[in-house]
Amino acid sequence: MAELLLYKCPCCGGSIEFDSTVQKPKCPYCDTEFELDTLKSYDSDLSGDSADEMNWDDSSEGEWREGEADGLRVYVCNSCGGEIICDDTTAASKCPYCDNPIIMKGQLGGDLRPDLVIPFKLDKNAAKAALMRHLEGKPLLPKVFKDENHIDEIKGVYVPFWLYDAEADANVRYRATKVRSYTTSKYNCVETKYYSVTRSGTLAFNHIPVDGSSKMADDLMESIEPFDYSGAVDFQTAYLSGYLADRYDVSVEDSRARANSRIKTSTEDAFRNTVIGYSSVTTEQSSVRVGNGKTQYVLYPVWMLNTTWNNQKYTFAMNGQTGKFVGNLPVDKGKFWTFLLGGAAVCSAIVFGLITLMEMM
Amino acid sequence: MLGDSLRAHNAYGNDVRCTVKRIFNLFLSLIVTLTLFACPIFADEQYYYGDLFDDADYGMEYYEDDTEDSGILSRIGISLAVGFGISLVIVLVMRSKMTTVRAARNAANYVVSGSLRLRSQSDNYLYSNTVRTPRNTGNSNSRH
Repeated sequence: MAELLLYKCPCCGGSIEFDSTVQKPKCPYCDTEFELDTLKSYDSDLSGDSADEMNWDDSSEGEWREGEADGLRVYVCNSCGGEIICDDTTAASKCPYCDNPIIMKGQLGGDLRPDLVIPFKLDKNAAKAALMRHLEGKPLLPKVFKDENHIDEIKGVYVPFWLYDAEADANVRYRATKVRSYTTSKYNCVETKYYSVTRSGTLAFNHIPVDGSSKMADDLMESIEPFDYSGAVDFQTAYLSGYLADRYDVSVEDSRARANSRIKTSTEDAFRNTVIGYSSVTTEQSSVRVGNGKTQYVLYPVWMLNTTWNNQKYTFAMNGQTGKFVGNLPVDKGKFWTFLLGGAAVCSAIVFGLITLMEMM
Repeated sequence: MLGDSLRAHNAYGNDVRCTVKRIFNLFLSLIVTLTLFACPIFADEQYYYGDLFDDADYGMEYYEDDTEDSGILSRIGISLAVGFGISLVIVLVMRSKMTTVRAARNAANYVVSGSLRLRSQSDNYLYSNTVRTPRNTGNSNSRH
């Protein structure tokens, strides 16, 4: 019996004791009775729980070849601190992030050399057209914003990304329920059966991008995903001609947390999809160990568009490879309330008419 | 002679009054029918003036029916609530379209196809709860 005292109640988490009257383990707190085998298997599930473990190999960092970075210039923004790289034939006057003037700092040097680059496939006109399409079909958009909106400068920026390849080895435990309703002569009954479900296995990931620029909003860059990795080519400085390139200022180590978080969520979701036949499934515990982790430093093409309206900055971004366009838009409060109250009046009249018709029939 | 002519005149007058009343009732019925189509809020018998005239003719008193009033009010209340709810959902959907920048929660786009390998899996039954509700009242619950 001493061994039983170590078991935790799957229902409330309390310590379970053996009840001599029912001859079963029973929780003294919630009065739930269990079979001994059930508790043993649940206990073995719990003992398999372990903490996350993320191991990465960062050996893929490249070095600039001699003389390769000679033609590259570094500009710095005095406002946001952003550092922009471009070749000596490209004039950079404004920061692509905050739209403030930037000044030349000097020659590029000391950075890692990108492993790969995805060249721009869409030009500036495509970005302008995408912006127009983005503004269409938005009834709540202030008319002034649409009519008077003019983007001063559209900039093509190569944004630094860290790409993570990894294999996740996960052990996930779920709490699942099966609900059954039935009727007796006196009662309506709802029976809920609880299950402990475990899944262990592996899942592989390729090229998860995490932007390496602190000035670039993570959610903005994640919103224009995915990039087609098959379009990536070996980095050549010639690809920078006519475009700006951001310097990475978030190290591969610091970016890793974001990749780990996304890997963990995806792994839990993938394993969750194998738990079928239940009314509800919730994750109770998961441990994900990342192995064979490799990183690459790449430049991805992004068109950046900035505008200011009502003293608020609006930044839009377009995937320079696929054309996916994102950017939050302002909401006209007057239109919002007009649509809400006008719509409520119309809908109420329709609903009233329907109710009256039904009563008349 | 005079009496006969007076009776005839009265009979004629009654016929005329009846005809005018019928035409007036018909006209009112037409207006009420059109009003019902245009504005269902008046689809209630207490506003049917033809009946009121009939009742008055027979010397019957008119009583307002409070239950009918509350029926209309509840219908208006339900309609406003449902209408506002529908409108709110529509406007919130429209508003959500204004926000296209969202952080990626997972890395589903980067999962290697067919790479999911399950090493072990188990589904263990733990316990069950049954909630019984009496069929007649539905007020008291018992839990086992």
